[in-house]
This record gives sequence, structure tokens and C-alpha cells, in this order.
Amino acid sequence: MPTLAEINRALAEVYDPELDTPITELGFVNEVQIADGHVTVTYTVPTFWCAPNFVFMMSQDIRDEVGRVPGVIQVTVLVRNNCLEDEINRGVNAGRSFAETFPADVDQNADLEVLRHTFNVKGFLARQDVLIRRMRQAGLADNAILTLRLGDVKVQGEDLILSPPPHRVPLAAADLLRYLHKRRRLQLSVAAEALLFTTVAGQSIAETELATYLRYSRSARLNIAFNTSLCEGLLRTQFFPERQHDHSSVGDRLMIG
Amino acid sequence: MYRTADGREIFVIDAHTHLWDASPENQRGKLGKGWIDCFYAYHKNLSPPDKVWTLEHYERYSVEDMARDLFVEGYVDMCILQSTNLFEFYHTGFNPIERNAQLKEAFPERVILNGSFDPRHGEDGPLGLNALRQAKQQYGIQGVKLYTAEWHNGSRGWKLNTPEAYRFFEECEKLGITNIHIHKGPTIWPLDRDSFDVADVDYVATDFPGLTFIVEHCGLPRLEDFCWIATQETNVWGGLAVAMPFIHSRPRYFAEVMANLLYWLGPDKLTFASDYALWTPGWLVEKFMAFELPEDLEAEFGVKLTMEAKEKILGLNAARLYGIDSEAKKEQLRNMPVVLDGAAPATV
Repeated sequence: MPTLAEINRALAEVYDPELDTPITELGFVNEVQIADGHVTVTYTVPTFWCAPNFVFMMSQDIRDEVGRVPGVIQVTVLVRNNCLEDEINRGVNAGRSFAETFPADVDQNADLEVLRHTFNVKGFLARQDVLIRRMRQAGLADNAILTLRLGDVKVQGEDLILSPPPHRVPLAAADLLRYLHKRRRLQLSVAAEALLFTTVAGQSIAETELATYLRYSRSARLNIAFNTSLCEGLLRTQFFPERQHDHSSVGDRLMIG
Repeated sequence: MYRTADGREIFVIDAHTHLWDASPENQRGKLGKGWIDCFYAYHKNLSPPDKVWTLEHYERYSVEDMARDLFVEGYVDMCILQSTNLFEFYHTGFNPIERNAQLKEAFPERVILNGSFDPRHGEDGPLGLNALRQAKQQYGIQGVKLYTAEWHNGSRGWKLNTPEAYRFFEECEKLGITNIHIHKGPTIWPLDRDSFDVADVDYVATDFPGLTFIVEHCGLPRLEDFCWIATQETNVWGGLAVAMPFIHSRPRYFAEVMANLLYWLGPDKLTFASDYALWTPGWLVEKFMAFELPEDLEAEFGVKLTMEAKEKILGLNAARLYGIDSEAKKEQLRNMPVVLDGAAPATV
């Protein structure tokens, strides 16, 4: 029988696509019930009007991630607090696709994966922007940053050590891991000889283009942080009144000066 | 009017307000309830604790409540009422033009009343072409608020760049309805694409250079895409509703949003708004006047939020859009105290 820890690990791989954050960190998951191989996951989205396409993606990802845990026979996913929750719950639990669930509203040739990719790119840019900022703050020149290879970067506690020559980038370890996680999702190279910073198409970034390149990344980063904070606040206000005035946010890790 | 410590009189237009009725009697089932509950969560979460209303009051407030919150306690000289219909969620609509007109009738010199249209209503529907012409004739509207997320007869929204919508924009040009406020918020059609996508604004802004498109909520939650479009198109503006209250709960976020907007759009294409009754304007105006951009953002973006910029954002920009002479208006309103029922005239 699957354990709760295994199910939680699987759920930690399910992202709110727009907020680029696991649903477990956002506090969306209410309950996991395990009865033999049958797992029921109940979760709540922050508003009644959360875009149902994103909600559908999350429900589907829960079904798929939990379904991969050894010993799981059947997964039931129940989302709460959404204007189309009944349709989404029925569709996902019957194993239907998004287009099959909403035949009248959806272009049957369209693919939710395109939408997912768009937001993966935004998340990639935001995570990359944070890491480049950390390196600039640690005194690295842009040309040094842009020529770094993955193998030049080592995690040491909360910091990163770059070499050669040795250079410490404080508090950037978690940011590196988050960035690499996204590189993997986008099937970008994480080999030691690969350039650490590339465009989402895997191209190198020229030093002369960096300022322009980062302008968009910077607003993408802010946008994710802003939305994350808003969504967490709306969730707390309605469902966790004791945390109503707590304005801290997991999006804060994107907010570096 | 907001007076600074050194006596400067700041003209304030609240560019996005509503007089709504979301009371249980007006709700059509769970959609009407879900709508106002969601609004109330925004209100409760982002207002300072002493500015939070009861749900009952939030669901339905009076003309007098609104006048007090805006004109007496909110520093607001003029407000723009943006009509939002939602006939499938509320029996008599959420704040259709007829309801909003009550405030206009009570305070004609202080209220700019906007209409709306919906291309799916065709020629004769309640939000169709004839209704638009009628609204121009009856109320002299200079602007419309478009809610592309509106549900209608099984359709869950519409796009700006369709032939049907273009007929309405052409009519707006003919009628001299030049200010097109677009809500870019929760919408679930087409479900398979990004429902907050601001790309359709790009098309209409190019094709209708005589119209100004004010993207409410600055395209949040798609700030990056909105900034990109608004930089290319001179007739795309940003409305600050929803971004404003972050000034209290998350001042750093607000600062970064402002720095981005000042960088991409500049101080001449932004309008202040409380989104009343989502929030009340008094505390927003006070905090905005006291607000300063942190030095690191000034340096990084090369922008400043000067007193002149604040003055533009708080009122002069919207005045320019609606052809209001702010000095003459200040003078007129000085001699026109706000009288609330049963109370002595309030000094504004």
C-alpha cells in the first residue's frame, strides 16, 4: 500500500502552471485518503473563477503523478471552489482529456500542452533572472556569468561556489536547483559542459543583448511573484482566517532587489 | 481633492468605480454568489483591517454610501462609473448603466458615466448596437467598459478582434465614444488558451488609432505581456485598479509594478482607480501620496515617481481622456458641497 509520504512526494511535482509553484507549497491540498491502492486527493483553488484550464491541468497532473506511485490502483481527484468544478472532477476522474470534457468550449485541435509550455517558459525566465541577479550582486561581471558552464558551479550549503577562479555567490543554492529543475522540464541540457545560461531555445546569450533580454524576464518574474502573493492571500482569507493578515508568500523568493 | 502639507491641491479622478447590487435577492444561484464572494475575498485580503466592510454591506450599498466614500472621505473630485452587466449571474445585472446612472443623477458634475457593449448581442440585444446608440443619446457617454469574460447564452466570453466586435468599434468611432476600458480578468473562453491573454488588444489598438484602450488592472496577471503591447501602441493605457491596494499589504510588489509601468508606459498613460467597492479610495489616495519609489528601483529602471507624475496618475491623465479642465472643475466643485441625505453639507 502506498504511504502518505510517497503520495505527498508525488503531489510536490504538481505545479500551479501560472504560479510556477508546487500545489503543496501553495497550501492548495486539503486531504489525502489512502484505502488500499485507492487514493483520493481533495484540493482547493483560491477563487471560484480560477481559470478552469489551469485547474484542469492541475487535476490531471495530480491524477498522473499520484497514479505513478507504486501500489496505486486508482486515483480520484476532487477540486473545490471553482465555477466548473463538477465538470472538471467528472472529466478528470473518467480519464477524459480537456477537449473531451468541454467539447463545446474548446477548439478540438488545440492542446493544453501549448499553454503549459508558455508558462513553463515564463517560469524559466523568472528563475533564470533570479539567479543572474544573485551573481551580479556577488560581483560577477556579465561576461563571466554568460560563459559559465554547469560544471563550473557547485552547491555549498546555501551558497554557490563558482570556479575557476573561486567565487562565492551567497544564498543562491536553492535558486540554482529551481532553475535546473525547470531546465530539465524544458528538456534543456544539464550536462557539465553545457552553458548555464541560455535562451529557452538553448542558444547562448550575447553580453550586448543581456539588458534587453532581462527586461522581459524581470517583468515575468515580478508577475509570477505578484500573482502568487495574490492567490495565497485569497486562499487564506477564505479558508484559513487565522492567517488572513499574513502577507508572506512563497513568491518572495523571486523578489530580490 | 487632496491637499498636500504645503497646500498643493491635487485633482483626483477615481477612474474605475461601480454601484453594484449583488444582494442574495439579485443573485442567480451559485454563480452570482461565487462572483461576489470572490470580490469580497479580494476586498478583505487587501484592505487594511479597519477598512473592511461586512459582507452584507458589500453586497449592496447605497448611492449615499458611495458618495460619502468617494466625495466626502475619499478625496475624489470625480469618478468614472464602469458598467458591468453579468445578466447571467444577477437577475437585474451587477452594475448595468441604469443602476450606475443613479449616482450620475445625484451628482451630475462629479460623475462620468460609461456604458458597455457585447458583440454577441448583435443589433437589438440589451447590449447591442442600438442600445449603444441609445446610451450615447440618453447619457452622452464618452466611454465603454468591455467585459470580455461575460457569459452569454452558453458562450463564456468573446474576443476583441473579431468582425462582430469591429462593427461596434466602428460605431464607437462614429458616435465619439473614444475611451474603451477593457477588463482583462477572469475569463474562461477560449478555455484552451491563456484566458488573460492581452494579445487581442494589440490588434484593435492598431486598427482603431482614434480610440484609446485603457487596459484595466494593467493586464495583471499578465503584466509582462501588457507592458510589451502598451509600449508599442501609443493608444494603449493602463488602469491601476487591483494593483493599487498592494501599496498597503505588499509595498515592495507595488513599487516594482509601478517601476515597470513607469519604465514601459511612462507617467502619462496611467490612471488611478480604487475599483470601488472592491476597495475604498480614501486610504489608497493617502498611501499613494505618501509613497516613494525605493532608490534601488529608481536606479535600476531609471524612473522617478515625482509629485508631477503622481498628479497625472491621480487625475490629470483621466481628465485629458475625458476632456475635463481640471482647474475649472476644481473651481466649480469648490462651490458645490456634497449634500448627503439628512446631513449638513459636507465640506470637501
